[in-house]
Amino acid sequence: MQRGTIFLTIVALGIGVVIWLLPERQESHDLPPHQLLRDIIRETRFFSTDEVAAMLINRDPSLHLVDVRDSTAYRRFHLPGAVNVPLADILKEGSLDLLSGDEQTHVFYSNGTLRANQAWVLTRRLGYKNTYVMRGGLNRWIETIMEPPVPPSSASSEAFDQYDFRVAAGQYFRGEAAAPKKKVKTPPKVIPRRKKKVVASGGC
Amino acid sequence: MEQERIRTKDPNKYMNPYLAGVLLGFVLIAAFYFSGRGPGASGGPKRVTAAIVEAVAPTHAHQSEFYGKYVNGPHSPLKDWLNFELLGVLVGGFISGALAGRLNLKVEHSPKITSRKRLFWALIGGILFEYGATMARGCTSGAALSGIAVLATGGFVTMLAIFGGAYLFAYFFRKLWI
Amino acid sequence: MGPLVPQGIIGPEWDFIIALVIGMGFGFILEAAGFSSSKNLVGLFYGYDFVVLRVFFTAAATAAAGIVLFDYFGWIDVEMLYVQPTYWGAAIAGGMIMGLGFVTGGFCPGTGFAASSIGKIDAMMFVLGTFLGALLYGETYPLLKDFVNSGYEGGIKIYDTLGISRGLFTFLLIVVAVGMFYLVPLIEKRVKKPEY
Repeated sequence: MQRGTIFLTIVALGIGVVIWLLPERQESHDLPPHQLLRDIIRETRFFSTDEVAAMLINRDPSLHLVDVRDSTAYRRFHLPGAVNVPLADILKEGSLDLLSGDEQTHVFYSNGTLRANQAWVLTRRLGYKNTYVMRGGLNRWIETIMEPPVPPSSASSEAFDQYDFRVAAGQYFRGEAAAPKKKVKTPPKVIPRRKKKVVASGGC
Repeated sequence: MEQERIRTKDPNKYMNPYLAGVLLGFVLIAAFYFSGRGPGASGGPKRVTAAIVEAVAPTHAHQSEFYGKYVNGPHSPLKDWLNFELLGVLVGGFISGALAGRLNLKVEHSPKITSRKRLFWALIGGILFEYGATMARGCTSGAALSGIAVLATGGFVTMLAIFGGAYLFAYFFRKLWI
Repeated sequence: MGPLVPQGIIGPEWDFIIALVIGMGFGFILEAAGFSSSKNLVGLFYGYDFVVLRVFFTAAATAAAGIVLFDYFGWIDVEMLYVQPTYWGAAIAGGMIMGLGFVTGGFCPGTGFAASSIGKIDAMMFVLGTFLGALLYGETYPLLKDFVNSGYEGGIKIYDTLGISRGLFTFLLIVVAVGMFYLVPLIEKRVKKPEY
């Protein structure tokens, strides 16, 4: 009996020591505020309209555009291949599933930058890594891609190269809008990821 | 052989407490693993009472801040995890009692008190326990045991308060037991 | 992976069946450990029988250690588990009232149900009392509302409250439990167990 008691004591304390020495796992999926801030001020989370246009023209398969405006605005106009996830619905079942997949580059856009940014912060907090914002949104898109301003004659050659690209891109996108070909972009592959439900309620 | 074993079975022989504790720990882990919550008890009577109040005095129940939490939801307060769990407790307890030969309709009480006195204090104890459990949002099962399993501060505080309270008042009620 | 039902890995319709099975295990163990007798339960408070302490702390330490290990192996998401919210005032006052209920009634709600199932009439009276207690609470709730909702801290964890790591706290919990298991027989030896 004595031997059994001592054995059990040693087993229990041994398990205790193992647990004590286990490395701590990251307990929270939520990003701590200081890390979130570090990501917020990082410029690389933005895509310019030119970059998005180039990726669209090159049919970059990793690009996944997410339109966070409401569905009426989305129906009126949206970038080719974009999916519509209104900001209000972003946490709903199914919406977040669209953002998983590490090989995809998820780019939020809205009319300006504000709502896309809000979507970015929300999903970032939930631990989604490959999310970005198209800076300036559709307003900037119109200003730069669809109706690019002619650079002054004193501007650098890079500015003229950019202008030429924009004019070409604008024609490319207008052409698509005028004569909609059959779907250019295959819908991005979706790796389903289960959305978390509310934690079980109740107590005693 | 089997007959003999049953005849010689001692109803006062219980499972080794450490074995029972480890098994109970496994039940707790299973509850958290499957349902994301620990077993409880006092929440069952609370919800059943809310349902009874709703049946007897519906307007009172719906207007009450307390019952309203349970009766104004999309489901009946009876359709709750805890109520099913408590049905299981009754079944499981019965099975164990039957296997150990402890099924017996009786009032267990100290020879120094009458069964009427035992029953009276059992009723008072039930009222007090449930009152305190509802206030503390859980009893020894749901708050203390399940709370400690997930290392909740509330679980430890409630456990210490229950046992502390019991030790504090034990002296005044010693005649009921010893 | 886990918890399976809140994660949606198994359908919510299974939740009640799981509840029933968990309850059966819970009730079986409570009864088999001797918690169906108030004589064994209140022994803790008079020093003649510490079975409650043994079972309770073994179970609590097993479950706490198991959940920490499950989390380490990635089998369970501890963030999704229901954590008892901490309301300081209500937990302490409610706990004291429960303690009073324990030494007068001789059961706690869980053990009361388990004991009722094997025919203990005193336990049935206790269970009847729990319904009346819930009714009494419901009727007096407006008076208590401010008090019971004060001191709210949310689902805080004990190791954060104490400011130590989770692993160290779990280790200490096991050490304290084992230490108590060595101490209580010394008390039990001195106190005579009542016979009835």
